[in-house]
Amino acid sequence: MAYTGLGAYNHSFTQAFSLQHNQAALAGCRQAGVGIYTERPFGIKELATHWASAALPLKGGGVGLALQYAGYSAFNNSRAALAYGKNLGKLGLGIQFNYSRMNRAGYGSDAAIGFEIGSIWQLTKKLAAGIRLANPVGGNYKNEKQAALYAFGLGYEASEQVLLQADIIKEENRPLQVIAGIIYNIVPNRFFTRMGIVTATSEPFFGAGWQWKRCRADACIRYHPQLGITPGMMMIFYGQ
Amino acid sequence: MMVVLLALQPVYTCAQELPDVHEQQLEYLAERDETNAEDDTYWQQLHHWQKRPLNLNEADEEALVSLQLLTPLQISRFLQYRHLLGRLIHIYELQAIPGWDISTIHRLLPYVTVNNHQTITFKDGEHTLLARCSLVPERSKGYTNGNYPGSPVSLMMRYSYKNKNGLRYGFTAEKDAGEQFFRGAQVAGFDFYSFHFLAGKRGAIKTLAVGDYTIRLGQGLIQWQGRSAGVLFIKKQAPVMQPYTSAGEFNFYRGAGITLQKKEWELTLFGSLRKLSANGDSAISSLLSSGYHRTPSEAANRFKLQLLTTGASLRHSTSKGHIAINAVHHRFSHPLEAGKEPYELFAASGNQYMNVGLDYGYTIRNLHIFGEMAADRNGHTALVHGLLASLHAKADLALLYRSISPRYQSLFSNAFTQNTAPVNEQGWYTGISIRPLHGIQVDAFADVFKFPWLKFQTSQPSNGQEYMLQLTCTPNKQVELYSRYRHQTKPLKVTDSGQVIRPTEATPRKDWRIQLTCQVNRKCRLRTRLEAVWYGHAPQQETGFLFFQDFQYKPPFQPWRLNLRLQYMETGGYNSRIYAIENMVLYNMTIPAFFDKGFRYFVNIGYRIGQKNKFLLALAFAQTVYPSKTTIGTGNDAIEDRKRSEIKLQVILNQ
Repeated sequence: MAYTGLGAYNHSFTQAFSLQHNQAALAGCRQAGVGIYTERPFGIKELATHWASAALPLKGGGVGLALQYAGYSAFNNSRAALAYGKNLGKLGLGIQFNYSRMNRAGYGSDAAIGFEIGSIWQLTKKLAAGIRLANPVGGNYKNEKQAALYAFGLGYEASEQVLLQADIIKEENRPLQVIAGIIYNIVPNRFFTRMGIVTATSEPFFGAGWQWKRCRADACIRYHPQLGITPGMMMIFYGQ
Repeated sequence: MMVVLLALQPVYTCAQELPDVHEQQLEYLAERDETNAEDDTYWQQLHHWQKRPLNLNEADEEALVSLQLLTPLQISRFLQYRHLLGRLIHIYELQAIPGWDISTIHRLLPYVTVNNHQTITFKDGEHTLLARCSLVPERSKGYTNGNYPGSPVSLMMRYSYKNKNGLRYGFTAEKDAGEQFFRGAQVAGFDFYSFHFLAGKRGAIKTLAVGDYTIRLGQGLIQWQGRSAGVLFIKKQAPVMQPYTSAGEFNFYRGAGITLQKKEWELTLFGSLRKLSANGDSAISSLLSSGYHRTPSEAANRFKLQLLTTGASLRHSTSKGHIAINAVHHRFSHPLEAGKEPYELFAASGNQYMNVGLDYGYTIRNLHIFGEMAADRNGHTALVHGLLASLHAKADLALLYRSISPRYQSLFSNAFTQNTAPVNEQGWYTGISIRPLHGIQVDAFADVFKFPWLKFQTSQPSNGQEYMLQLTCTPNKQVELYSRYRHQTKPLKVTDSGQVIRPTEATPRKDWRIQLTCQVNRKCRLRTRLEAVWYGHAPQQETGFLFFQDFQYKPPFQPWRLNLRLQYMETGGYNSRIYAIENMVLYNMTIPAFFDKGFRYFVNIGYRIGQKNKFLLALAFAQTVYPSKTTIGTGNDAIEDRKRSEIKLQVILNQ
């Protein structure tokens, strides 16, 4: 989600996927949108992951829906999430409920309900910071707890076309990682690029997108030094 | 160690907290010393100034020094400005003083005033009565096996009076958890009683102290009681004699002291006779500073040792600087005996100790030099020399050199060193602070040091380094964001080498912190901190992580306030522990070391009744939950549970 998560910390760059990065991004949701993103880690079909996300602005905030499916028929994880963001002026708050399911051929399946909370503070006109906590408590399968996640992010709008973003993410029992990236809208509302790095796996990523009327399509790749390339595709349909 | 930094940006300090610059430094000190000091003297003083601000038109150098918010250069320039142009007319005039930047002024504003009416009367006095009660509801092993005969409630009472003439008196009484009350070893009730009296200027007498007091001399090589953190950490600055009002049971003197002043000369004489807790029988193997007298063996060690201390300081001060000669002599009733380990070869032994020293400070244009040279009774030496330079309106520089013999012995000392006590160390510190743009500050330091003799857990002479870089961004008055990276390399012996003399290995510790403080509106303030630590070499590297979120809610014109902290920590072990300061109730600050995986939260509700905070009531509840533990703590303090809670109730009456 490194590629789709860029833009969560700035209202002008927020899109349908931002809610999956920080639910509080919904507080600044100005335009309805639906997006799908799919990637195939290292070109391996069985690891393919698909995301779908929808965001709808409401008075004083926004509501969102997110779906995820990773794996293949015999071994997969899936999740459906409902999120709500509330705009409190300089502060945006978000909450999300997840229904997660895992399926292992021969072992059966299991489900868990968890929650995430996020907040984004507009520190200055151009600088915003946010935190996100996922499953600090709860989110338990029968024999396993979903890992908790603590994230802190910063977004700096260098210009109307350029956004710099960095997230520090700590997942329970995993090393600290930083996802840092830049969005450059070369031609506003037409041609976009994004690039960045995921430090946990030392994977740089790069992608470019083209918008035509209310539809935008991006192609991106992430590169792992040992395991190779992860190709991805993103499509977003904008509403009114 | 060591910070820092010539002037951190202003931060949003409310009445219940210390300025952020102090909090950072106290966290450094807790990390260095691995102890939690109970000294709240400075906090009380700061809170007093919040209610009764210091009048800058009346304040002398000593009062400005006690603020701990100004550098010696800033103090010197202020005094010169006032001398040249007379009394300040308005607080806005502070901006005109050379070397006083906006961040300095912001930091000072809550505690100072510019008042042109002299109104010094005894009626300005303030009586304060504080009562605090704490309890850990989960019973630890000491209570179930009978080793802690007392109740698990800890109590503290303090009465103090203070007026603008400098008259102060009061008493403190404390009972720690597990100690008995009016029974057993504590037949007199509380385990610790303390009384202080201090009179301000009367003729040639500048200060007279009777009862418990602390002495701080020079740069701390021979004498420095109490923990000090100030805007300028590398130079120690504080009044020589202060009343002791804290509940810590070790770091103070009991007796009398006087400072006489004639023009530019000051003579301080002090004497103290007190009993200390110690281990050992005819010879003392160690002094006990914890103040706990719970178990039979702790109670048996109570007041085992008598210490007679005498000292003097002769000081000559001018508006530009000072020079002082100091001497301290200690005589124990029983001799101290050094341990048998090689690293303890030069440790304190015998029953008489003496230190003499010379300290100085001088300001020349944009430079301030300071230092101290000291020797013990055997002629072993210690010295510290430092320089502060205001290179430019936007850049400051600090240098400090220290060289302390491994054989140098001192008691109640505390200088600018990597070691907890000033001994066995040489080092160079260079710090710089730059403010390149409005709202941006860069602070950096490098400290390179060596230990000429062995240390605990270090089997050969060794050396190390520490580097720090901090970027602070204050885009407006409501927001402060800083990111700090610290890299220290310290020697540690290799435990599994299999050799008779265990080699020493340079062990790195990297620490990265990001903290955001945000005043959302008049009612609500948020603070987020993330800190990560990497300790040792791969593949045995230990990592640590701490996250907390503070919410402070204080509705204006309402009598109540609410503080809440939610925290998560996950470390690979004790080596990657992370310290985080906690202000549970007013004047009660703890800096626990957090390690292993767990959650912590605390909530604190404050309620005030009457004008000028006449009656302050605070109730705090804290709990740490370790999901995968079955026992928390060790020995008598072990709790057979996965959670540990703490309840605190505090009442303060001001009159």
